[in-house]
Amino acid sequence: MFFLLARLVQATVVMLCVALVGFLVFQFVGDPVLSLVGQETSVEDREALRESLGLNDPILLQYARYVVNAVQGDFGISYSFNRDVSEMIADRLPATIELVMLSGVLSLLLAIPAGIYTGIRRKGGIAQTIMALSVIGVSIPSFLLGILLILVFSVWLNWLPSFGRGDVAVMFGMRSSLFTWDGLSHALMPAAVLCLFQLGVILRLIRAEMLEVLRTDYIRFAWARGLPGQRVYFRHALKNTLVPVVTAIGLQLSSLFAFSIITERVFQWPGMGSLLLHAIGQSDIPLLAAYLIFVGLVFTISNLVVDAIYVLIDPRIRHGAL
Amino acid sequence: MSKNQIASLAAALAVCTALIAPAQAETLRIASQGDATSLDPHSHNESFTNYFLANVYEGLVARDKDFAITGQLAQSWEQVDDTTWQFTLREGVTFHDGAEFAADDVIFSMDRALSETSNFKHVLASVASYRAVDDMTVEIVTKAPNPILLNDLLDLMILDKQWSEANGAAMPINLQAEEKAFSATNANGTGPFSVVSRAQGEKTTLAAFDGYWGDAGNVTEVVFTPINNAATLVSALLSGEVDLVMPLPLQDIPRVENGAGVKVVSSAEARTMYIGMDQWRDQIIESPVEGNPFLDLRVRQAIAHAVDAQAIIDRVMQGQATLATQYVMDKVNGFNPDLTRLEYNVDTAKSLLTEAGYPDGFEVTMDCSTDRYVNDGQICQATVSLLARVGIKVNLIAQPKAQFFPKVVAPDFGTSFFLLSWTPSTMDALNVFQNVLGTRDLENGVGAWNISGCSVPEADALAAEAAVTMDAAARETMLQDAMALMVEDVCLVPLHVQQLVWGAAENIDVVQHPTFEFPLEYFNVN
Repeated sequence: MFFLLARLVQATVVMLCVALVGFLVFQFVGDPVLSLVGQETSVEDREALRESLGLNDPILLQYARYVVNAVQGDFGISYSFNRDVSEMIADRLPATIELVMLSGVLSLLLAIPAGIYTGIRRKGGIAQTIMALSVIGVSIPSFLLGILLILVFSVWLNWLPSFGRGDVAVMFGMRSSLFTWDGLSHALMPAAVLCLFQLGVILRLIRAEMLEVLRTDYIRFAWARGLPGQRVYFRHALKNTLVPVVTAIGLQLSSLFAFSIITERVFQWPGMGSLLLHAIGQSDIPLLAAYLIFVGLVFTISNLVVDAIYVLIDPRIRHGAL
Repeated sequence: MSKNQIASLAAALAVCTALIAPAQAETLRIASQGDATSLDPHSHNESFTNYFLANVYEGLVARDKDFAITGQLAQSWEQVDDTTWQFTLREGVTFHDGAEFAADDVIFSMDRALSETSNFKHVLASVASYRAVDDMTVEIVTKAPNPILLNDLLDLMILDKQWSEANGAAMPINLQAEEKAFSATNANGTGPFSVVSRAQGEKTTLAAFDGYWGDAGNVTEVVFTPINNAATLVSALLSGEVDLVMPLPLQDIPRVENGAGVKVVSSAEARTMYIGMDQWRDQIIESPVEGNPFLDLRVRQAIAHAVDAQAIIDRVMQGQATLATQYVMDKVNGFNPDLTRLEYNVDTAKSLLTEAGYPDGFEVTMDCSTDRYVNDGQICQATVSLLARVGIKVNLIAQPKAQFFPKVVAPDFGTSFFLLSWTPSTMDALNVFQNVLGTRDLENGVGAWNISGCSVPEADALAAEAAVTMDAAARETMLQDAMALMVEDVCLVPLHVQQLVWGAAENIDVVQHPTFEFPLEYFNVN
């Protein structure tokens, strides 16, 4: 319990630092006033607007004011959307979450079996092919892959829609576009692009861990005891590869949010990533600040969860042996 | 049935379908790289937003299909004297919610446009007072004779008084307001289209307004989607998922030209690109040069001779631009047809530089945006290499507009050499003199965009006279003479007038205006 509490305090400090760094950076994103007013607006009017938005105050004062408001749940009003930032995020977050979930599930479903297989039959032809493909997956930039997929499946074959999010349906009390065919067809290409990198990384990690564990003494003993292959591979070997793999998956899931920026842009997916790009273009500081805090939150929470899962799957941590 | 009979039956059927077609639901799917930033017509003064909203809201006057100013919500107008105008309003106009349109809506909208939080105060800058004479007549009195009052009024959109007050939208959106900005996401105009749904940055749906007073094309529904990524935008057009993309990125013109069922539509835009040179500092900034070489007319002429604008058009703009001889394009009132460009000639440029005392050229820093104008970054790169031929070493600072504009605009004007452009929103050259070419006088709102700091007092005087001259012909001559003086002084080096380029499905008829307006009531789906 104490362990988790300490982590929570750490997380809060991290969040405060993230917001502070954000505010220092905002000085360089440009002048939001210029993107709000037209070319004919007089110099005095611009100055008055800048003053009323509090942009002339020292940066630390702006930061303090922001933190005080944010603690009370008020993230301000977006300059460019004229709407509550929290409302904006509530609007866009589901789209990103469903994309991240779909690609996360896709990559795990493919990476775990493929990783185990290539770990066991590492000299086989299929394993070699999978490994070669995974190198491509890790190294091809997502914007390029996205545009390629659009060219092939939308422009040439006309099978899948090239942009946007499809129809939304409510199921199990959740609103998601993954519950309709139209929605799924829209989500398929962006999810595939987003999953490819994760797929490569997790697959290679599982393979490497399997190779390492399979060399250990207790596996040799297991073979010597005449245990069936299935039992040796899955019960004894796989279970012990999980600790580093869970860490990696936790971190990868949070970086999916970060990677989704480019994918969302290419497929015009109305999620958090495209919101961020819009905010940067418009120097929309309240929106930028909220996004930074949100991403900080995703990373800290996923780290917390990974820490908690560690305790569950590795008894050595629970008993203080490590 | 004989073959002939079948053929004639088929032909008759085809004719019937053709006749029925206009009555059917026709959806026009539009994609653009940006989105309207607000639905409040007095809040954000940004051209795309204004023109998008011009389909939903209307003004007293508007541009017709042929770009001439005609009455919209004003049926007619008359000038009582030099400063007094009377507008007779159109009868039988209703707002989308069914409310009747009357003079109090016009007065309310003018109050609103002049309120503290409005960004459209400049529209009524020349107006001294206004009042409703009766239910259907509005009188406007200007401070001084204003020959282009109608041009100014083009951007003044009319809202319904009752609707605005009932929904807490009596004032344009205040960015600091705690209450929700209803008018940012809701609209109630008199225009040919009403807003059905709005998700900013995702999708906006418009429907043809049944009670519209005027004629409209056969488009019954408009689905508008912003697509930021250029490659995705073009793919959406090629795969038939959208019918119209605006603007079409220049590098994709060949793909659309060669694509099946799609076409490129282009016409000249009212935007003139130019290079500016510091003519107000004694010492130019961000350069090792002693003093300010640009104060010497011969240096400015040398730069005009050295920059091969035609090459920039051919290579960088893919031919989608025309040479600029002056600081406005030919459809702008005040364009002077007698002016010519200083021709491209490296030797002339070199000898002018030698005469001015810079035989080996000099070094200067150039500021340039990379995401504001069509291919702005590449235009600057081309300028750098063209100027290198005459020995002028240019250090290019290519930066996003979010960095570029705060640096170069008032009050700092923090650049000595830059690329910029201007669109006179009134389509009258006076707007250019007041903002870009007039001697800087920020107190009186003149020359806020005169980043060069150039000054030709004779031209200022002519422009000031044109501002209060009601005789159209005399006024045009004054503006043309003033333009000639500015060009002679090489206040700026004009480059080109860019083209408005759209990609559309074959069956879409569009109307393009030099100001990037897209009046959807003139669009048709065949």
